[in-house]
Amino acid sequence: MKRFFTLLFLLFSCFFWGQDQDAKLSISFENSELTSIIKQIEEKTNYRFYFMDSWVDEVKDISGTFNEVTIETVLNEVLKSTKINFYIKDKNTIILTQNEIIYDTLPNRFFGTYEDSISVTETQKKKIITPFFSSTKKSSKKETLETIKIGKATRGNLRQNFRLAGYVKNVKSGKPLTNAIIAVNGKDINAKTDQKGYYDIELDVGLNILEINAIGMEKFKKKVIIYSDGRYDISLDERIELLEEVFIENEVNNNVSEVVTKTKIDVEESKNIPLALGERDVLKVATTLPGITTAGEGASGYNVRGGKSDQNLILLDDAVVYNPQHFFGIFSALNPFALGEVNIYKNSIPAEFGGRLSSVFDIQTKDARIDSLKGEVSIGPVTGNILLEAPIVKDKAGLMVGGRGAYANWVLRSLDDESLQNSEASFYDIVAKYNHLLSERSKLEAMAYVSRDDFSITSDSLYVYNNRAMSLRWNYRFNEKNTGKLSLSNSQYKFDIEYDGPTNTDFDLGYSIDETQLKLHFNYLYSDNIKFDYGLSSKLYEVNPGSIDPEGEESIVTPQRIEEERGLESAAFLTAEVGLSEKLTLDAGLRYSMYNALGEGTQNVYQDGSPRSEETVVETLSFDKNEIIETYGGLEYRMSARYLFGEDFSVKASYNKTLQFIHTLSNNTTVSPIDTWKLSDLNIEPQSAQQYALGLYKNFSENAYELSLEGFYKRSKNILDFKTGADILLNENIETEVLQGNGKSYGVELLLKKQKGKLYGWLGYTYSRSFIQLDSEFREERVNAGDYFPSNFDKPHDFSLVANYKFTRRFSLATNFVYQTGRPVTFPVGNFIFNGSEFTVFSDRNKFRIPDFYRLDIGFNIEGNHKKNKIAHSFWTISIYNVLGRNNPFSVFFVTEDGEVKGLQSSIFSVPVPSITYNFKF
Amino acid sequence: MKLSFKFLVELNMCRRILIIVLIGITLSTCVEPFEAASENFESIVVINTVVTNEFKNQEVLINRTFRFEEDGPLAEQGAEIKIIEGEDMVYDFTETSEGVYTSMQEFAVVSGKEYQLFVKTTDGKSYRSDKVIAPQETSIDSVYPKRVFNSFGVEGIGILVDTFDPAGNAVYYRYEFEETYRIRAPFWVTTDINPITITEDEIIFERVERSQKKRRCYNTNISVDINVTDTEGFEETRLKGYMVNFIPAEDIRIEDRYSIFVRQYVQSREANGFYKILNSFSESESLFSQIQPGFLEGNIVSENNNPDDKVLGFFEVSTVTEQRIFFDRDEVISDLPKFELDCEIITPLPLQFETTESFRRRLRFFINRGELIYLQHAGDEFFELLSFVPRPCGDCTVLGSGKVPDFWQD
Repeated sequence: MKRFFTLLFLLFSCFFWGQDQDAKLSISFENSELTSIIKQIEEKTNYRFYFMDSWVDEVKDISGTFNEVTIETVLNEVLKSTKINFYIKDKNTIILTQNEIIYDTLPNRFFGTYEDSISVTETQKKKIITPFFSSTKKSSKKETLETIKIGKATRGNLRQNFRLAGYVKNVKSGKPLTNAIIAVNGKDINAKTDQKGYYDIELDVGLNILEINAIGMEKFKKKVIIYSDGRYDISLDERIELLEEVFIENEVNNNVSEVVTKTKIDVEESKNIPLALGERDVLKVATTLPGITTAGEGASGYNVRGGKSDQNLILLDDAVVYNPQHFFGIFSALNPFALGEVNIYKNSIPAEFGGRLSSVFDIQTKDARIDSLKGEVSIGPVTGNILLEAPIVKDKAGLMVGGRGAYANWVLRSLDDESLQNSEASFYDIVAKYNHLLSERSKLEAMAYVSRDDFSITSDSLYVYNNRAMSLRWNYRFNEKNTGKLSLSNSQYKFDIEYDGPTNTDFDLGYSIDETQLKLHFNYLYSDNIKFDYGLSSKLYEVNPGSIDPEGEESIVTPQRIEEERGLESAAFLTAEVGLSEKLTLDAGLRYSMYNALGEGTQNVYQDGSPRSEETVVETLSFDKNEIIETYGGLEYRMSARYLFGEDFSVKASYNKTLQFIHTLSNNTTVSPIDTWKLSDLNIEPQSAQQYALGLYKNFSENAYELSLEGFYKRSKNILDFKTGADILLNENIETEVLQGNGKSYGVELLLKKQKGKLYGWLGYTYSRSFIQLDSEFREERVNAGDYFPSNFDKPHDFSLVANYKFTRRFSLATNFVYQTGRPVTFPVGNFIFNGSEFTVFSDRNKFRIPDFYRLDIGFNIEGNHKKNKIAHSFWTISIYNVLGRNNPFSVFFVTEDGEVKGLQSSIFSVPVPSITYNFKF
Repeated sequence: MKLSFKFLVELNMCRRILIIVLIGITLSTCVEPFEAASENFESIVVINTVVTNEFKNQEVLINRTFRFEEDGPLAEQGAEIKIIEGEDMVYDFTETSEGVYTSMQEFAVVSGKEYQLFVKTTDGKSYRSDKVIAPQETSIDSVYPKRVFNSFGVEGIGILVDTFDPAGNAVYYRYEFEETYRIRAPFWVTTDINPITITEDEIIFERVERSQKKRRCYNTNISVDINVTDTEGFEETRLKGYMVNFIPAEDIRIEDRYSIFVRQYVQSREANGFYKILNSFSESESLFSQIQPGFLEGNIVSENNNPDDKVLGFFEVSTVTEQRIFFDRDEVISDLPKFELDCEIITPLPLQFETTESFRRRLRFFINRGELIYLQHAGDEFFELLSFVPRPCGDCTVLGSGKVPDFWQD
């Protein structure tokens, strides 16, 4: 090639050119090689040929007879069917080139426009055909893509486009790859391979960057210079191991360009973050990102932007999971192997989602493999996990089944300690997914999930809690512009407490919530700039708030059944994404939600002007089955806008209004499995929130760094909290025990991510506040004199750093550091004597804080070797949780023992916890 | 309906998790004492008063909160106190001892009437209670012992209460009790010996009659725990088998004969709630569920409604009924192991090479020390071979009072 460029350069610097075209030549050959023909010509004339042997060697079987013709005619004929062009330099020199034509005149305006150009008007009438000079200058330094040349340039080419066609095959099996996507960067030309792997695509003349993506295959990306219609067959390697995230340049700027900001959790990357007991936990990763926290170690539930933990809609394939955690929040209840994509919306919630105030965790399971069997196994100190994927109908349908369980029970039994031997501590979760491509246009997905935890907290009680979620989804593509999805989902969360104590108060208490939703969702691509998203959904809730039954004949507990609650939550939504200009895009969503509290049931009406209590009940209303008790509803606005200041910098603003019709009832500062969900009814109004957010998003250094700065301000109404010391469980008139107040939170979130290089990870910092106000005209319904006070999860400073360092492809080190302000707590401020006993007097609610929280975890990952043909790929994780041994108090509480007030603090992991986990995939 | 879902913190939960998690790694407990900072101290007036339907000089107690390291409260002296009944009836109080204020005249609250408490402290702050209506009186149906297990799995006697308000008005109850029990000295003998003279040749003992009061003794405890319950959630306003007290089988209190005097207060819902919250604050909670504490407001507030003038306490207006029962241990749990004094019989002997006189001196010292008490001797002739038992075995006044209480019935 060098020689070629040198020639080209020589050519430009040469002012002399001319050809003796009068010299005639007679020559004849049959099935000859080009080299021998060239030799013949050289013998018969004075011409000398200059070329590279490799260009010429391949050209064979040329026949022809020429009589007294010019050399040009001969060469034209001989080289007609080859890629070779020729250039007659002078009387003695012929230069052969591959693909390129050597032009002896420069194209118009090669050196800029001349003012004295005479032929301007004339040339404008014709189509100006500018020969294409492939120049190295144009492609930037980082692109070191291989270049492929297709076809041969012809003089006077008028065509701007050429067709490129060929087959895409699997290099190993030789089988055609169907549905491989062929994209041409920046030019919006997309094609797909057909059943035979055949593709056909139009390319602009000259340089194109061709990208081919096929499922399970290595990505193909090459420069293609096209000179004429041509054929190019491509063989792709199988992608053996997904060690690093697939890096698609097209998506790099997503964080900047997307209009509705979502937090995407990289499921695959989550394995590189050290966590307690080596359990991979996608949701825990979320808590290292700004704006998402938990109340403490071992506390379940997430607090998003100062919201209560009941304000998050956690969806697994569109079905709600009420308690996505095991073991009081130490482990996530979602099998990490089964997850495909996790997106968290906390800024602006798309209008298709509703029913929660703070956020949506949209978790999708991955599709089961439809081509071959695949499995993944992990063995840790506490749990074992296995996931299998298998094709059911080859290339159409697949099934995935995953199961995870803790073997702690076995360990407990084998201990000497008597009090522990009879304990229960086990959990499991099972997930199954079936996906079926019914046709090119439609796809069916079915998912089922169950989880269960069994526990004995004391020797005489047994806690059990279950989650169940199922969904059936049908995706249909009507045409290029319209797609639709119909989904039916059902979820259940229940718990049961069996108390078999020594006194005659044994009982069995059960609670359950069940919901079924039908949702119809359409997408309409009106034009390149306008997209619509619309649909309907309806959800039926059935809550069984509790039944208590005496256990055994001795029990004096009276059987009690609090009446069922039912509610219907329906919504219609419409979102339009409108590109107003190249820079400004608007995403405007409207959701109308309506909630009907349904009978049958009874509701108390309370006296106006007095606090709600049993004494102020005026009337008890009775409702028949399906009779509407009360209707609430309203419009929810979901607006966001993005303005691009360049490819890598944008500003986004959003305004969100959300409504929530169900509430958790908990007298704890943190969610625990005995949290019960309560539907809105005559006396308990739905909660609502309004959030304003503004964010700046910037990428640096060729997208190696992502920086975002977001601010938010949120006000909420009717947040449920409890009167001090209220009895929650099995209270027939919960409204007499709870208060509904206003919430207020605001904050700034900073996130810096480094995506590329040996050292990668992110750094997040949030400053935020969260307050609640419980005010009333009645003293007993007021907390802290009715002023705003910090909520239970008000943690002003929250810093996390996740840093991974890759030594080699096999060894990497992961670290995770978290710092948070201690959460608010109510402290005792003195003692007093009352009726002869000493008691503690507590401060105003949440006046003090527990010590700050910080923790450092370190993990070391060892990948198995990367041999191509081995059966399984293995992966070891050695991690130390809480390396600094920080005793982070989870709760602080006080007990009166022998008349003395003792302050106690509890922590879950107060020492470094090492663990080792073995994973393998096949 | 009231069921306590507070799971006692057997610290096991914590240990269990740790063990599950850290197989092979030893660990100390994860619940540990925490230094409560006393700089957070707030001095708050505490008003503690129960006025009842008993005709007497009613009492109001006022003191202040105190620091954790302090032993007890400081009485609030010189306050002006009055209770207003209905519209116009005023009962004034005078301070009879530090922080104790007594009504100048005897009175009893009347069911259905309204009462209000007014307090003015010397620092010029004044407080008043809500108006409280005296509840109706409900008498105790019965108090009875029953063989039960307590929540820790210990077998013993539970003192249960049945009560019933046919009118259905009395729903909230508070109990106080006073328990009295008889203790027997199992090795009580009629005489005591008293060494008078010791010489080389002889030791002279004085025989003294041992008092009958040392044979049967009585001891009394007053309940201090808050004991509240209600009949909400029950089919009728009937309280059946509510356990007021529990005595383990091997407790000295039910070694012989036991009596309990139960006072039942009929309360308002607010008062009941106040006591319950107060009680729950002092109870240890499950590790994973912590009750949200907070400043506990009673029904007494600062007169100017200044939120900084905090006041603790409750003005409780109750009706009281009482019942006393007696029972012998054997009527209820005759077959269970009972409390046994360790009554080893000790017979002092001269040591090798010990002179008789030295032994006798030692014997006298032994007797005078009083840890052991005389039981018997081996015949009149050889008076020096004496047997003793630990003092409580022959003299129960160590454990109680020898005086038979006035109310006692055998």
